[in-house]
Amino acid sequence: MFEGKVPPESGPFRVQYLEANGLANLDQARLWLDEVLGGLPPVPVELVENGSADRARALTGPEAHERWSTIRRDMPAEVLETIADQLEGAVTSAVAAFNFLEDHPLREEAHKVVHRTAAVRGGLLGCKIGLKGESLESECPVDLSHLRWGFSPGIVADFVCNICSSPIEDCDHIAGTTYVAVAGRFGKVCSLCHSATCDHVEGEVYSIEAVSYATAIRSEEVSVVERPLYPLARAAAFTLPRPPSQVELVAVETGTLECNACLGPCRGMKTFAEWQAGSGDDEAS
Amino acid sequence: MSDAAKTTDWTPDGAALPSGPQEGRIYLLPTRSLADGQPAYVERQRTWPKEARSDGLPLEFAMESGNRQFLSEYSSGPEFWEVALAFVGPITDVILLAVQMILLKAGRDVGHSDAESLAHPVKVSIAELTFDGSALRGVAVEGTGDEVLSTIKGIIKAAKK
Repeated sequence: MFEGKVPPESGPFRVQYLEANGLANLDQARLWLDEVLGGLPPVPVELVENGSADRARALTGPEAHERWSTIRRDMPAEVLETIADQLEGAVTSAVAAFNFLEDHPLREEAHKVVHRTAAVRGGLLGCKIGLKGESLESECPVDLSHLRWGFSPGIVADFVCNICSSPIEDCDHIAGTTYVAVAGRFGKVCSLCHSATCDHVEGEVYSIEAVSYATAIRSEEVSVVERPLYPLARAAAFTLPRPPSQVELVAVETGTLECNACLGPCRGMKTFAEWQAGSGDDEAS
Repeated sequence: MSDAAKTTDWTPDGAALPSGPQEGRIYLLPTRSLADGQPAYVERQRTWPKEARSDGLPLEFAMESGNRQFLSEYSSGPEFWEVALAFVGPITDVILLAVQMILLKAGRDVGHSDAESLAHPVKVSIAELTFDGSALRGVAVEGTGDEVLSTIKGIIKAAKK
């Protein structure tokens, strides 16, 4: 995994990065889902493709809700509490897997795992819709993961060398090479490791690897792109494109307004343009 | 190997040119601009001159330290690599070596083999400057790395006649 570093932007390194992270998340999602399902009676977690209105009604209609309610009612509270953490983790991992594996042969498998984990989560825990200002706001993982766009910030920064404190483009130190350097101080942080709490003593000599540290970081703009460098740099919530009804407002107050998107069926992916145009149905219930 | 790169006339942004350029040096020009119009380098270019120096190539930034800005854009890509260079005096084989070094470096940074790097789409823009820093003439060459290098080789050969 490339945790902590800027992901490679293209080429074989990016392919490796996406696959490693995608497979790890996919495995984790499947593992947790299997553990949860192992302790439950049969639940409706089929993935229904577009166009099947009858199947959609079967998955989201009153009978399906009653099945989920029965399962929840019969489950001890402590079991539900344990399952809740696993389910949230499974959904998060499944969505992450889908974002990492977007251009991989396992894309569709990751897509199905998103639906399966989110359906179980939606059925057992509910997928609450809240109020933000005067609009209804959803954090539905199915809806969000089907918005196939993310964020790309444009950032300008200076980078200084930890060995000589010069701009890294001007000095002769090569990143990754070990040099002998004298520890100094930049305000409260160490010049060698940029930590405020390290063991380096100012004025002492250390053998240390050359790295660069960003300073004077400035955000120029944020763009919406199809493939963000960080695959998980995506929308975390969205507002519904219509004012809430009085019934919905009451339901929000009582915490009973839920979305049905996670229960199925799959309604397809949306590009940024399609999402902006407001295509598709909202699913507050 | 085909040398069918596309060549077009090119005029660099005057604000990106070095002041007081010296013969025998190759200047790396910024290829982007910020929202306020200021020229900016792409982040991945930050260490190119330093690495060129370690290879004995006289590559340096056109913009002086303190005036340089490096832009990082966090989207996956780009589809092709872009390089802009400037120099004073006749075009020589050193330019070719610098372009080759840059292409191979750009490829290695993302995990490509040298052969893959030279097959990758690239746009190389080269400007010949006068001693007062204005552009005399420029050309943009677009194609695979191999095609571009072959075309630049042809330009150098023609200049020697």
